[in-house]
Amino acid sequence: MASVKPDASFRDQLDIDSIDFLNFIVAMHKQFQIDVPESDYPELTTIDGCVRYLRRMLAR
Amino acid sequence: MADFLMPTLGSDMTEGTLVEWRKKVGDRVVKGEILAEVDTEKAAIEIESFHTGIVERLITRPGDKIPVGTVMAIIREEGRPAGKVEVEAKAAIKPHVEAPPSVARRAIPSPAPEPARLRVSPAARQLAAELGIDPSTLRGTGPDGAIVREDVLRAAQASGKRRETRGEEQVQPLAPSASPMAEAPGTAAERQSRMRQTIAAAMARSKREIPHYYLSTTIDMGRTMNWLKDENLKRSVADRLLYGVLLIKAVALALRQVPELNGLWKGSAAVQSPDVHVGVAVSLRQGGLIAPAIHHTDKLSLDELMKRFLDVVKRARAGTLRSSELSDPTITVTSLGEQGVETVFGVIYPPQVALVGLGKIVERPWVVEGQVVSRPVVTASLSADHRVTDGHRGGLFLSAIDRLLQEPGRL
Repeated sequence: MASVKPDASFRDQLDIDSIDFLNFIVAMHKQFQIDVPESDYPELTTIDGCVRYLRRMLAR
Repeated sequence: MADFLMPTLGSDMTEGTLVEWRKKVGDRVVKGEILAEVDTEKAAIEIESFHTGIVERLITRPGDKIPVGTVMAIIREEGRPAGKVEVEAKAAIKPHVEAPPSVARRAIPSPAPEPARLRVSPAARQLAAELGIDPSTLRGTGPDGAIVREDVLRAAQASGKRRETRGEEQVQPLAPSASPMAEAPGTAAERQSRMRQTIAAAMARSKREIPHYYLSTTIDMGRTMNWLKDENLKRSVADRLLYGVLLIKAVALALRQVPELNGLWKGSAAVQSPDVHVGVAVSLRQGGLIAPAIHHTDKLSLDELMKRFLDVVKRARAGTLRSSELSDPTITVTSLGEQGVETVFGVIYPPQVALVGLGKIVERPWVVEGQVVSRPVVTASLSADHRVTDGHRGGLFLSAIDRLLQEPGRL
């Protein structure tokens, strides 16, 4: 994970597919108890994007 | 008495190495229960018993390389007396023999090798997960350095981890003089090379023996994607559907309308299968491809299909598939849309007679009621065996998939 660039698509960097991404969203849901609508998926394509998203959702 | 045979594990696998028996002589085994674990070039496979009874005799030993069709064990039906068992050798079993150390490793002329698959038996993998042990840190004592259950138990004992289970948990520690598990890079490259050779043999056979024809069609996915979007809005994160599952279901239902594409070539003729078991192509992280079956795909609801799909992909990548999942596919579906591919020209996986390829969903100009609008579309392709079907039937099949995807609520 240390080699993953935070501002680049981590899906491309890690060669993960839609199944991996869905598992990631489910894990995020379980860990943080947030529901991630599909319309928000485009925000979660980078590490930085995920961090910004989580900060916003958890601040609510 | 019933023979427990090494099953067919796909056309590109002709033998497997027995890793361990899950039962011993005298144990009862139920039909469908896992009796043995076998390692192949692609994955570790759990072999199910097709009979219920008592294990009468275990003929092959861990470490043996066993060709497909070889009798591995004898199962006695319950209530029958134990008797003399005569086994006719169906194929040469290659006993496990320690290879002499090579003096120098010949360089494999290939691109930088991808990391080799860690050889871990399914039982060892499950136990390691339960105990929180990373299998990659273990020394394997199974065939070809495979990590088996005893290796995990040994590591657990050494670290003081405990698990509440059966009493056979105590294992002898390895002698300190045992050679380390770490393998030279050449060995990993050779394993990758063997996997590619296995795949190469199957694909070359396919192209040599199967007269392929190819068809494709572009399908308007607007209704499907809108239906999916609305459906997933109602669902919790863990219950959402992937569009790929709708495509797989449409293929399965279309096979009911064109059943000639759902079968196997045996000898000199095609045999239609009464059941639809769609094989889903899964790329392996270490390179290579495997296509396990989702049994009775046409009869599953979308929720059931989604669960089975996620499960089979997970186990394919973990190397814990079952033999029936490799021997039973009646057609294969491969999707390369996520890699940016628009059209797939696939190679049929013998002895199947067809393969469906799916590309990425792209927005394209499309005419709807005389107006040009932007629609999400996907290209579905069919590679089919011309000995079995002609383009007319292939075309009907693709049309059926298209029609089914225009009514996603009925999938």
